[in-house]
Amino acid sequence: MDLAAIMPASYSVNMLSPVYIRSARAICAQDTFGNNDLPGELTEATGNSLHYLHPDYSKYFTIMQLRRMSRVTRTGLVAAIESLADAGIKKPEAIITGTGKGSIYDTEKFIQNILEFHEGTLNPTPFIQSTYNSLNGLIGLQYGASCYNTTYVHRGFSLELALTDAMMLLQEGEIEQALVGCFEEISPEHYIIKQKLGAWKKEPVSCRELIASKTTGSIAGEGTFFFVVQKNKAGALAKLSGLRMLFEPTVAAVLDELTSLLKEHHLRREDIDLVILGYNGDVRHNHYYDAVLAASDTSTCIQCFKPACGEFDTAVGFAVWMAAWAAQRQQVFPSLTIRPAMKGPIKNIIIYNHYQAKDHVLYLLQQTED
Amino acid sequence: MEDFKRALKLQIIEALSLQGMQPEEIDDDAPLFGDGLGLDSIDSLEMIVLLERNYGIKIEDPREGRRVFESIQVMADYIQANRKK
Repeated sequence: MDLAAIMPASYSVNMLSPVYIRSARAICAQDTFGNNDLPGELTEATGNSLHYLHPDYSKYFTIMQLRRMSRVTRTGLVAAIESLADAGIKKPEAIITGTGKGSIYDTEKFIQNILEFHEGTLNPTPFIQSTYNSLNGLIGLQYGASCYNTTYVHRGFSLELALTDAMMLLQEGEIEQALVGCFEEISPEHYIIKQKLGAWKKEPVSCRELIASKTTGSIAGEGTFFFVVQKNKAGALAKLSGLRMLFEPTVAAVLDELTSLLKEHHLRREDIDLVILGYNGDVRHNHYYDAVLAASDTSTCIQCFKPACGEFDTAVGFAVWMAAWAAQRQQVFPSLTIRPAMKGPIKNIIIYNHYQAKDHVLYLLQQTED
Repeated sequence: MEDFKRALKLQIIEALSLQGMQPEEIDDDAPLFGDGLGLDSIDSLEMIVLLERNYGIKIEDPREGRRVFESIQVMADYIQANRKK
């Protein structure tokens, strides 16, 4: 069943207690993984696609282990391992992920096998890896963790549903910490399918010029983002205070929801120090971001993130990683700035993103109090 | 027969994604599972698919597969005796 069909127009998890982001890791087209940082110069897209810069997997796995791991199970497991290591956690109490498409390469391989061999005997490996939750299974095996283990597959809400689940488990006191992540990949075939749907730009575009672009479409991307969220603030990078989801809202509804989110947390617009917007260069949908930007206080720093990671279902994971980084280090990535900051510490951060103008999400992250 | 065993090893290396491995590294008589090459039950299924696609041999019972896949030598003898293409 399509969850969108039964979801209310907006869904908020403001009734849930805040949770703390203890660690955050990102693997994408940029060199974000090694130093858990973003280099000053962005890697350019190739053919309007931003592809993974893969870590050195031989540091983590033997050849015999690697041979049966797909691209996203490799990125996912490595990001999970480092997130848990950063948090000093030996075994996660819950493993919850979100993905829009899962392992596209293996799904395509499996479907191709069905066609080629007339539904005869099929290779088991692409089938195993094409299932959305194969990464979760591997993480569980890696840590001997037979804990709560779930994958949400719902396009632009996938990460948010995973986070909501973790927040509920933490609030109910069933767990003290959870590993939450999202992962996505783009294959040449999937690129072509989405190109036919008008998702990508027809003309080559530089990442640096993406936001200023005046044409339709965006650049394709892929990314894996993992976080450890916990109940207590000890050692946390940031506090995730609020999360809202809206399905196909009007611009006015987005602004109302933003106002409601701020009011819920007794914040005024001028209290927001950083707004991270999901601008993807597609002129068809920029008006949502333009409206949130216009509604922001003039002293608020405005940043984007898709020039770094491209567009995909769970690209917002990059923004969450970026926000946690900014809250902890009290810095922003200069290469992603739309409007520089005119004030001091980064205490309150808003993330606003939508996927294909359907799935809209708002996050409120806050600096962890002393 | 030696050429056939080398070709079979190459097919196995490709089917099982044994990256970086050369045919010369696989001993004809060493066990493919367990202590030898260290293959597992999913590899066994992959090799059943390989036999069907490349040689027209259908192995319905995975337990029979375990016997057939004891070593490269056993596998090569079985294929030569039962191949349909």
